[in-house]
Amino acid sequence: MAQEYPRWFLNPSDLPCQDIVAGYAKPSFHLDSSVNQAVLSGAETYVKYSNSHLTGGEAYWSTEAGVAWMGSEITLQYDSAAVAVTAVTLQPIDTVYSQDLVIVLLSKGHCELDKRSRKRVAIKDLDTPSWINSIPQDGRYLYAMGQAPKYYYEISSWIEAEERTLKSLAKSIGVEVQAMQKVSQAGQEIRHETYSVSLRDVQTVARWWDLNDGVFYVLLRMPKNVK
Amino acid sequence: MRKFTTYLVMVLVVMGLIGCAGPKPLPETSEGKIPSWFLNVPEDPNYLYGTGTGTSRDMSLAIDKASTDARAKIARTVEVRVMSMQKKFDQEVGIGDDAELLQMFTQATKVVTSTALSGSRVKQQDVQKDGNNWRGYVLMEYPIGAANQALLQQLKNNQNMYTRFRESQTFKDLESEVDKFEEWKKAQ
Repeated sequence: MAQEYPRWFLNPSDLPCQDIVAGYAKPSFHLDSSVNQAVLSGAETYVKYSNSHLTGGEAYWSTEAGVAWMGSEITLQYDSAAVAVTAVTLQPIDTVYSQDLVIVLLSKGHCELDKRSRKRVAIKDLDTPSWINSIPQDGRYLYAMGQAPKYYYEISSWIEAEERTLKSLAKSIGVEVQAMQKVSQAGQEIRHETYSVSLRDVQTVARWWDLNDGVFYVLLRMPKNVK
Repeated sequence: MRKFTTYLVMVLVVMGLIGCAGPKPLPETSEGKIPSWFLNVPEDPNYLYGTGTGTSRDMSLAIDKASTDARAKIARTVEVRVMSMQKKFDQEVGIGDDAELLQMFTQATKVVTSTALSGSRVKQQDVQKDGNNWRGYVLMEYPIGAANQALLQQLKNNQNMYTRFRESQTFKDLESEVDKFEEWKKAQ
């Protein structure tokens, strides 16, 4: 069961349904508790992806010995009061259980899954998707990819990969860069990046788990015409 | 005693021979899977490219380090391009004698070069295990036209500069470049 997922989880953008989101939870003794938790997590993601504002900054000090992290601060603002309300309006379409993870597919409207989309596929039987090596680009959407290492709890890896992708998406919309180089006997540079970006109508395009390197990937997109 | 002397001589000869063999070659190290786009940065008339790499025990940090490295390179390239544009204006209109104009242009340059690199995006990225660390590689791209557009906007925002520069060929060239960028954006 492990490392097997339904197609809708790996390629959610292939579904004909609009307004879908996946929620995660760790398995608990009572399965319905896990499902409820996953629905809430999905509702939170739905609210974040529909309308949020990401602000933050990070600074690095680059010397010949390497690059040192000086600090960072990231704040994601969204309407947390809307999570509980949204959870009621989202309809569970499919649920996947494994030893490590419970995943629920939720939809805002009517969504009919065909047999192919529900079918579980083993990651090892699939080819590495092309978007891992080259992030897609088209006129309608901004795309961003993020990744996370394999943690003890699989859910942590997927959640971190999604959070990182959201940050990467925000940075592709607008980032202020300040870099100061100092060259004496040894070169060094201080780099500072800040961003303050609104995110609207973000969609999950695809997910992947590289079993060889133990890296989890998520691909997100946001319509370009949203301001 | 004679036996011992013979043995000692043999040991010394062998040691001498080993010494003459030169230094022991260093063990070969693996280069890792350096992505081809990192070594051969793509060229495109519509984009500026910057590559970056970074290591950390934390995967996220390795990629963040690589991304900021790449973005800083792009920001520097934008700065050089804007400064070369300033030189062209100076040659044509003569900013050098006018302290106020020079200050305004410097301000505009600062705004353009330290302002948001909106549209800079990760084109390709790779993350690999490097011993106990993660190593991230990033290829960042930034549409050249976006920098031109930001400069033009800054020039237009200031009435004095706009009046002074708008008849110059450099300004017209800049406007034409920005128009081309608008067309290119629509075609994307």
